[in-house]
Amino acid sequence: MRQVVGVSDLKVSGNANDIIITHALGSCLGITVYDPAAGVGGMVHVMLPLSKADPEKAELKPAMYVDTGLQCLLNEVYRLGARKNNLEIIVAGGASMKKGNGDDYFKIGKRNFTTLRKLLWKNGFMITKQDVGGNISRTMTLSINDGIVTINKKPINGSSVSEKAVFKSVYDTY
Amino acid sequence: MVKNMDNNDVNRIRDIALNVFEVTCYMFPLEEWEIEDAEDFDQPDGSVRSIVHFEGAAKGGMVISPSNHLLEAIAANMLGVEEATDPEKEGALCEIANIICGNTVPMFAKDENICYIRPPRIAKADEITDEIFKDMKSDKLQVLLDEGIADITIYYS
Amino acid sequence: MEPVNILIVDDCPVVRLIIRKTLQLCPVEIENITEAANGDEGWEMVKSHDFDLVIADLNMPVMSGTEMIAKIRIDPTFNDVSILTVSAESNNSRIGLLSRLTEGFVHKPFSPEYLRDKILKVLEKQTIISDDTK
Repeated sequence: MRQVVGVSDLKVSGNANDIIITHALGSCLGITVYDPAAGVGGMVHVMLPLSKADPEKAELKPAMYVDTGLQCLLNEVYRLGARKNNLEIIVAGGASMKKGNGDDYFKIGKRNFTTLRKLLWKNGFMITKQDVGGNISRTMTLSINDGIVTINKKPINGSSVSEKAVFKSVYDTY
Repeated sequence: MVKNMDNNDVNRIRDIALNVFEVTCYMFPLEEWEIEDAEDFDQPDGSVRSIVHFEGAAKGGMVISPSNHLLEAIAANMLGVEEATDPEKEGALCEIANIICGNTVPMFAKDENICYIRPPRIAKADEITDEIFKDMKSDKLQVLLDEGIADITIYYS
Repeated sequence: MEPVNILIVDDCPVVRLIIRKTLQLCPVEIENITEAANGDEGWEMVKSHDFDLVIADLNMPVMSGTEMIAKIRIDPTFNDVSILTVSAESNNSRIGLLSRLTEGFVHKPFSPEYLRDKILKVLEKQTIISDDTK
């Protein structure tokens, strides 16, 4: 079953038939976590770095912020039986939103990613694979059956050229 | 004799420093419109400074002086802990200085003549860096980060 | 892959901690992580232990990483020891010279993920070579 993650939203699943997808990752970050042993995974689509910017909003919509969104995602997959040491973490998005030769005035994409990196490191995680930055809009898909993440990308300036990246677990040989 | 640095050179050092703080300390620069908030940040008071000497194509040094808040954040973020010890804070600052200076000195290289940097150290409280590097040119910049402020001075001749 | 023995050589204890933490988060079984604070200590460790990988800084007091690496590579006893340098060194000629003696170079500033990927690449290559020679 297809589960769509909207902006400031998250979905988790332990059902091997599920595909979790999110669209239009610009400066937002799509973060997936997957435990291959438990067959459990999830995805969050976060918009802004830190919940302290608006704690009330963060209470209502924790998935809006990198810090509360990540925490929620982890809590939810742990609830389904995922284990911290098994988690594969894949990140997409964090694009620069500049148009043409203009400046990326708010640099939100970069800040989101830096904030995420800091939180992960502090909590004993590392990113398995990432596809971030650039001037690109991304769509991200997580297959619960096998943990494969697919990222479709196209330039934000509206050109029709698109690319695809597929991330499998890279640690089979270790 | 090394030529004077211009604004472009100073901006390059700033970019190097910002990249180091981003990659290693997970910090980002404040934008112009956020600088008003920075007025609440404590300014560097020179109580803890790191010095890196270099020689070769150019001779001189780099001094990094963080605000107290930044010093705490540098070590805590690098190690991924809530709070770092004083030796860890000094060690972290030295490493940041080592990396920024190591990436800066290629600016002075000319053909095969390159710069060599010495291991960084923490300045003694009574050390006056303008005296240590007297008769040298110097340029100073300040980086404003989300977790504090750092003064960076480069001396060269 | 067999569990690996790793030596970290860096004069900064904070950097040694960061590298240690990165190793502990790597998907590799580690038998032991040893630390040394300069090239001289590192060389003594290499002579008295059996390491699979040495992760070394270059700019250190007492003995530089470059000198330590030269000593390791001159001695065929340590041909099976892989070396990864981690340094703010930016001069391409010096990096090029070192690359002939080592299995990889990580430029500072580095992210833990980048260091991890380099470590895994070196260890994978080592496994392939040792499997080929069996």
